[in-house]
Amino acid sequence: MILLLSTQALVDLLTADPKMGSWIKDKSAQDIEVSAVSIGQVLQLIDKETDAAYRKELDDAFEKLLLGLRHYQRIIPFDEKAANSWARLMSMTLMHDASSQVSPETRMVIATALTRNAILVDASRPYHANLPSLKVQSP
Amino acid sequence: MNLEILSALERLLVKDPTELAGTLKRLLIEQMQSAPVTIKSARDRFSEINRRAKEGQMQVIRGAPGQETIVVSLRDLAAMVQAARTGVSLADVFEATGFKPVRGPRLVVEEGMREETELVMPRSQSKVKQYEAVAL
Repeated sequence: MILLLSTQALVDLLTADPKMGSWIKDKSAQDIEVSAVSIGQVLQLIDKETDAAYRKELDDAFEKLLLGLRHYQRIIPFDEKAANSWARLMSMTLMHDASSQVSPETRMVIATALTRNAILVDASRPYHANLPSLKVQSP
Repeated sequence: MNLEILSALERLLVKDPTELAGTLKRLLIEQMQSAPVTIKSARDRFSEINRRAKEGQMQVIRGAPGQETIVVSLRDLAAMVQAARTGVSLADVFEATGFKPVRGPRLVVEEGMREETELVMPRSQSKVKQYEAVAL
């Protein structure tokens, strides 16, 4: 069983979200994966943080989080198969919520989950219904 | 707890149970930051060895083959037993790397389709400019 964290799930893990914290407790290190695209998204998000002290704290904590994932080779690159899947996802209307579509970056993460037959760890979203082959687990 | 030791324990497979002690000893000596010490040295430096064990650095004390002893904290022993029994949990990994979630405002990943994702180059753009864009 592979559990690929969505970028928001990864951010929630970083920022002490209680739901994510209790969900992750009993998970094996071998089961968890993170897309390299998500790492880029999180770094970008941290970079946008205006409070310098909070930004530094996030940066340091994220590096420690990545250290463990790197050690277990749980960071998954965006490869050719995922790129093929992503191209198809880009032509679809996939709603993140009532007003906004899923971003191209998040579609890359979804494509990675689909091609690895992984379970995407993500909060319930409208677009999940449009992708019957996507397995989702909500923390 | 040393992450290398935890992950190695998870992969530790021996066909013959009598080989386990020897394999474990080799693994611990390979991964530890200090060489095995004699009983005399351990006695002379026990406070230091004890402190280091509490900080996650185990110590092998020499003896006849199979009679060596290990100084290890209860917390690390529990993590090792857990790793051997069910695999290394993500919580163990984070403990080893020192990761602690940051308490602060919730960060939200931006969603939505944006126009700049269109991969269309303006016709007037010269090749030189394209190369410059790649170099950036």
